[in-house]
Amino acid sequence: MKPTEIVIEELNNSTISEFLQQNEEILSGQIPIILQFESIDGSGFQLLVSLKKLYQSTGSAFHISSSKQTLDQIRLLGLEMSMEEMK
Amino acid sequence: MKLQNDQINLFLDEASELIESMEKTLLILDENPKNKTAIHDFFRGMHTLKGSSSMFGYPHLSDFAHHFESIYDLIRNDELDLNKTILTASFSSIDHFRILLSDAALQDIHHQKEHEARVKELNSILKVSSVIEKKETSLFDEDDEPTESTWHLNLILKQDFYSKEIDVLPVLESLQSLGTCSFVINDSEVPEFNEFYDAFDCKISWDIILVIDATETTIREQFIFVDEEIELEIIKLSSRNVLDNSYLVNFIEAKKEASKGLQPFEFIQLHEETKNKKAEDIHALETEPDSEEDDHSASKNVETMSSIRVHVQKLDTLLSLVSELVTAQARLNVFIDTSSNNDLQEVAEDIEKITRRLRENAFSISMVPLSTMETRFQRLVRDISSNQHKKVQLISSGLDTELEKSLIERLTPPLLHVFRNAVDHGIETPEIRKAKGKPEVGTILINALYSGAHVMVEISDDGNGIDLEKVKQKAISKGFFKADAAVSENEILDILFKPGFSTSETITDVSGRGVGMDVVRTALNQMRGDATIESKAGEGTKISLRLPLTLSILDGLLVSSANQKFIIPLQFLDKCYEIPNFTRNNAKDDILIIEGEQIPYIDLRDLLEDSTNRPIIPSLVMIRFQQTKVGILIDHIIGEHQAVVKSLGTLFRKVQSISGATILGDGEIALILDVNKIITEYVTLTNLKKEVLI
Repeated sequence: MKPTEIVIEELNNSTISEFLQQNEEILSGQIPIILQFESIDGSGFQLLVSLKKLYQSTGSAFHISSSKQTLDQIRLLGLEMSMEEMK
Repeated sequence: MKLQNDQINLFLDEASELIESMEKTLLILDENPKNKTAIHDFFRGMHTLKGSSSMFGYPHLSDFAHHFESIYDLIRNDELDLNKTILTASFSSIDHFRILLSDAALQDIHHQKEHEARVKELNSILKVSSVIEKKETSLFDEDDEPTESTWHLNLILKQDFYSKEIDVLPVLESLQSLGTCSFVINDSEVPEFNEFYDAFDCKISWDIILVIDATETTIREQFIFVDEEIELEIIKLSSRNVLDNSYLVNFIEAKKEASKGLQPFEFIQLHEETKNKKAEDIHALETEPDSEEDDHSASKNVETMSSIRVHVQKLDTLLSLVSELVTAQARLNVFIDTSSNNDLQEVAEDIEKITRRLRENAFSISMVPLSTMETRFQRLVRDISSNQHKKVQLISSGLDTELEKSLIERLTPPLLHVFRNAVDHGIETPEIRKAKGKPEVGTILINALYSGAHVMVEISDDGNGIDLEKVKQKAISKGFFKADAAVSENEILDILFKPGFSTSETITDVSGRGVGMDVVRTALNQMRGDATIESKAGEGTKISLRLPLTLSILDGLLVSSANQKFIIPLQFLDKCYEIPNFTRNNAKDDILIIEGEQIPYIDLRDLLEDSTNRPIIPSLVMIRFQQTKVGILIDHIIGEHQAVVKSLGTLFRKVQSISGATILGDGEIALILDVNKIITEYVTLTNLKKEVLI
C-alpha cells in the first residue's frame, strides 16, 4: 500500500491538537504514512516517539520527511526511525 | 522516584551477582593463588562494585571495596603475595559484602562491629595504611591525567513541562554544544497513541552520556532556565573520555534502538569488561576472532543485548495468570464437549493448543538450573573442610538440570545441610583416611537428573558411612524399636530422619551422621518430595532427594467421597482396588485384607464426618509414603487429573489433611490431600491407640 502523505509546516506545541483532530482516521496505525514537517519542538518530538511506538506495534510503515537540519536534530535526540530528507 | 527505586533494585541484583561471581573466582584462587586471570577478574569485580555502590548510595560498601581493591591491586602488581591469610579474609569479606548490601547504613550494631573488625583486618594486611589513602574522585581508576570526563545524565521532564510554554529541544542542543553527547530515549512511560489525548502531558525521559571538559556545575548551568520543570541526576562515570571503546558506542546505539533508556550500572560494567580492549584491538577481534576468551567476551556482549531482567514478582504474576488460563481452558472444554458447533470446536482446539504452548513456555521461563547454587556448595565444603583440617573435593554432574525457581530457593537450605553433614561427619581426616587405605582427599559427589516429572538430587560421599548396629541400638534406647523387633536396613536408616533422633550427642555416638536430617525430610515433604538415605559403614553415604519439577501443577488422581472431590498426588499412589461386600468393623482398627496382606486404611468419609450411605462397591487407593503403606477408602475413582494448585488461604491453614485445592473444568473445587500429613497423623493415632490398649 502506498503511504499516505501528511504535511504540516510546524509540528509543535500549538499545532499538535489540531493536527491530531484532523488526521484522527489516518493516524490509526493501519495506514502507512509519511509525515512531512519543516520544524519540530519538544512536544512534536514526543508525538513522534508515540507514533513510532504505534506503528511498530501494528507493523505498518511510518516515515518522516523534513529538512536535513531537523532530521539531524531528531537523530541527535536519540530517535531512531525511517527518515528522508525533504526534496 | 519510581525510576530511582528500579535502578536501586537493578543495582542490588547486579551487585549480588557480582559478589557471587567474585566468590567463584576466589574458589579458583583458593586452588591456585597464582592464577593471574583470576586475580585480575577479582580486582575488576571489586572495582566495579566500588564504583557502582558509591553511585547508588552505599558508602560503607564502596569504602570496604576500596580497601579490598587496594590489596588486590598490590597482588596483581606482584607487590603482595596472595597467601592463606588474605584468602581467608577475602572469603569472610565476601560474606560481609552481602551484609553491606542488606544493611547499607550499618544500622545493626552487630553488622557495625563486624564491619569495624573486617576493615581492621584489611588494614593489618595492608600494614602501611597510606596505601589505601589513594586520591580518587571518579568511579574509575585511570592512570593518565584526563582533560575530558564522561558523565551520565538522567533527565525527566515534569508532568506540566509543556504547559509552561517552554521547550526542551534548545536546552538539549545547548548541552550538545558543550561536548560529545549521546541521547537515549526512554519511552516506557510514553502513552499508547490512542491514549495520547494530551500532548502536553510529559512522559518522555532521556539518559544522556556526555563527554565534556567541564564540571558538574557547568552541566547544571545548561538547565538553569528549566530547573523547576525537570528532574536531573548527574553522575560522573569516568575522569576521561571512555567513548573510544567501541563496545560502549555499540552499547549506546543498541540502547537507542530499544528506546528504553540506559542504566549507568550496565554501562560501568561493560566498561570494566572491555576497557583494556582498545579500539584497534576490538576492530581486529571483530574481523578475526582468534582467542577463546575474547570470543567469550563478544558472545557475552551479544547476550547482554538479547536478554532482559524481569522482576520475580512479574514472573510470578505471569505464572499465576497462565494457571488461571489453564483452569479457564478446562472449563471451556466442558462446554465444547456438549456443543455441536464445529466452528466453535475448531477455535477451542486452537485455543487449547496455544494455552498448552503458553503454559510450557511460561513455566520454562521460571526454571533455573541447579548450577546456580554450585558456588554456595563449593564455598561451604571449602570452609568446613578448611576449619576441620580435612581435604575434600566436590565433584558435580548434571547441575544443568532445571527446577522451578521457588523450588531451588527452598531446596538450598536442606541441600546445604546435607553437604555440611557430609563434610562435618562423613569425610574423615587425612590421617584416618590414610590409615584406612583411602585417598587423603575425600570426595563428595552431587549428581542431579530428571526422573519423569521429578528431579533426583543425589549427594554421596566416600566417608565414614553409617554404623547400622549403633543406630539400631540408639533407636531401641530411644524407644523407636523394641529390642527384639525385626527391622530392615532401610527402616534403621529411616530412623535418622526422625526428629527425636537428631541430637548432636547421637551423631557423635553413632557414626557422625544424622544431624537435622528430619529438617531435610520435612523440607522435602513440604515441596511434595522426599529424602532417602543409603549407607555402608566405612564406605560412605548417599542421600537422595526427590522433588517435583514444579509446585504449580500436580499430577493427581481425581476421586470422590460423599459427593466431595479430592486429588491424591500420583507420586504416592501404589495401587487401586474395588472393595466388594465392604463392611466396616467399628470394633477394631480399620484393616482390610488386600492380596493376602493386612492393609490399614483411612476412610475419607471420616475426614468429612459424613455418615450417609456409601456406594455398594467402594474403592481403595493404596498410597505408599516412605516405608508406610496405607489405604484411603473412597467412593469412586474418577480418573487422572492435572491440577493447577491453589492455596487454601490463611483461613484454612490449620486444616492438616488438605494441602491445597484446584478448580475442575466444571468450576467445582477439588481438595488436594496432603498424603504425608494423613499418614503421619494416622501412625500417631495408631501408636496412641496401642499405648492405650497396653
